[in-house]
Amino acid sequence: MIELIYLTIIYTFIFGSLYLGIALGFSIITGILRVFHLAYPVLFLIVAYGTWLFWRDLGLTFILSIVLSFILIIILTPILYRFVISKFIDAEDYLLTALLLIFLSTEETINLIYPEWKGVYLPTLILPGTVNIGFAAVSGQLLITALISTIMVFFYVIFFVKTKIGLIMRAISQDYFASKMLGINFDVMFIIAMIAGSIPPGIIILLISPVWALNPFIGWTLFMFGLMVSVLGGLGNLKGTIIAAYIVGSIHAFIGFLIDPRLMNLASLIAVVLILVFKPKGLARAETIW
Amino acid sequence: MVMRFEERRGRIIIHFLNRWRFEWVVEPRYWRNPMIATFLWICIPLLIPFTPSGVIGIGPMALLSTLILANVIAISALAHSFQTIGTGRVNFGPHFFVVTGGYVAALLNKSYGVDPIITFLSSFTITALIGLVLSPLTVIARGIYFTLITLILPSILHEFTYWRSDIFGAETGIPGIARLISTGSVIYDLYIYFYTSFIIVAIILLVIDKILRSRWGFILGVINEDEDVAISFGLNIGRIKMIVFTITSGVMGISGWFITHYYGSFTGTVWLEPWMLIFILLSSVLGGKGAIYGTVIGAYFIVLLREVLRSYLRETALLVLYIILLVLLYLLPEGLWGLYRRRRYREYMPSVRIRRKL
Repeated sequence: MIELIYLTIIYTFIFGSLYLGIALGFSIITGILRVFHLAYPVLFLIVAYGTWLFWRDLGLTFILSIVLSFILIIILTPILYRFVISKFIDAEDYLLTALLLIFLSTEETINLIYPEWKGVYLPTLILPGTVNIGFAAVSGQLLITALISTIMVFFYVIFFVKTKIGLIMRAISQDYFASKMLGINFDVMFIIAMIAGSIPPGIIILLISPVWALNPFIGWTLFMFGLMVSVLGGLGNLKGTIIAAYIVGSIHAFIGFLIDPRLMNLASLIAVVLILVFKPKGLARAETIW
Repeated sequence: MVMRFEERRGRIIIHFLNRWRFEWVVEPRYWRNPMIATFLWICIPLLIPFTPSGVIGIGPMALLSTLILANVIAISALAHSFQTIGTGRVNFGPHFFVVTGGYVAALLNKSYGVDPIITFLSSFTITALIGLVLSPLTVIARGIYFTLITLILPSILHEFTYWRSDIFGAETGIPGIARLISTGSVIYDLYIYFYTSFIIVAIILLVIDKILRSRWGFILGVINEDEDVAISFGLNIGRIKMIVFTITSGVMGISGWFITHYYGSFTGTVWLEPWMLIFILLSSVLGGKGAIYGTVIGAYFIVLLREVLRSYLRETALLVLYIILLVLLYLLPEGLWGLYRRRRYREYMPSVRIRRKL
């Protein structure tokens, strides 16, 4: 029993950190732009399949392919902002529908070019095999993913707290109109925020791809984890997102090891909805991103 | 006197038993276009067997099936549109209620041999009850939070169907359900299914239209425009929103009931996928914001377009469909109904929107 509890604690950290990494970008975008980025799952797909495209189809080196896939995201983000988000910012039903259509069309395109049977695989394995932590034998790659995810969050928090751009972003997230009166260039800041929010999902998908088989529909699955965490955390509040990620992680670890692994997702989804019924604005009220 | 006629300000008012009355505007411009549209809606499907299959690339049987699916989408989309108007919230989980209604009908019929008429009532009632349980969310969760919570609901049901695959059949579904009707002739069956679904859509359409043109429609419009103003007028907006959410949830369940008894099997996981959400959402958004007649046009347009593209493009059909719909979002800011409205007097109808404030 003690072993099981120990495993639960270790996996709470691993799952929690993983979900935190998945939700980080979504929380940043929602916190600053106040936009529900339904095309967020596209970011996972572009980095994973973009890397494969540059590496295997165009014959570039693997590292250069990764860099180019991130550059692709940096190029596409302002286009998405300019032609979709900025265009429909005041008609949110149109905005959400347009973002959902962009996600579905990207997913469909990738499914046509790289269907699951093509076996897209990215050799990003950093720590093969398992690592023993006390009683627990943990997948080395998952542990690395969790650690990198935690470090990534730390750097993002430093960015928001210590840099001038971070300060401006916090100001925008706190009061849109007051910060507008101070002459902030919103379009530039929003694009920077969107690019900043687009990097974490790319890093996470590269790290988990060796242990979590890639397929064209993986984006929505990962997005649901990110969505749960962000909504529970209070949409666009990083402190809340961190707490929520570990709550969801602990539910998954607890249910997975002590009750029934098939119930992991169901339990966390129900828990999130129940918590939201009693705390409709999430665990941390979304007044500012940090 | 059972029936009494009265002429007043260009209207003929028919009184029944001095209790109920029905008004008919004499001037044709008020009823000509709806009458023509209804006539075409009823009669065009009758011409399908005489249409050469090569005209739009779909055979007569497939075309009738497509129109039936359009009606199914229209049922959910109409309920969704009305729900958005009445609650001021956009539900991103309408397919949750569709699938719930479907499972209720499928399980009752398969396990207990319940008649489709009873499963109809059960699907509506149980889905409405689930809607009632969830309805406080329309009051508690503001703006986008409501959207996000409702987006999670289909995922919960999806996980649930896999967890209890012994009951729900997960990807295999629930086969062997009694069909609504079977005459032995496929074409007759399809016509019966089409006109049954048509009657359901028409009834929902008329009821919603009647409500929106009444004092209640004005109240719902005020709630949709500004809840604070509605409260200042002494409206119990919480109660109104909960009632609207409950009833419309039940109506969405009816489309699930129809799917179940039309196909004779029900695979909920298929209908829980994002394409169903986008079909329902786009029927109301692309049909015309807040325009319920536009919602039906939107449903027909999207479902027919998908079938036409599928017959010509095969694998790439879905991708092309999504791209066309995306382009239309840009080109038609007032939806397909907006094209018709440009030529007509703009009567007041509540607009549909989500409040951005978190």
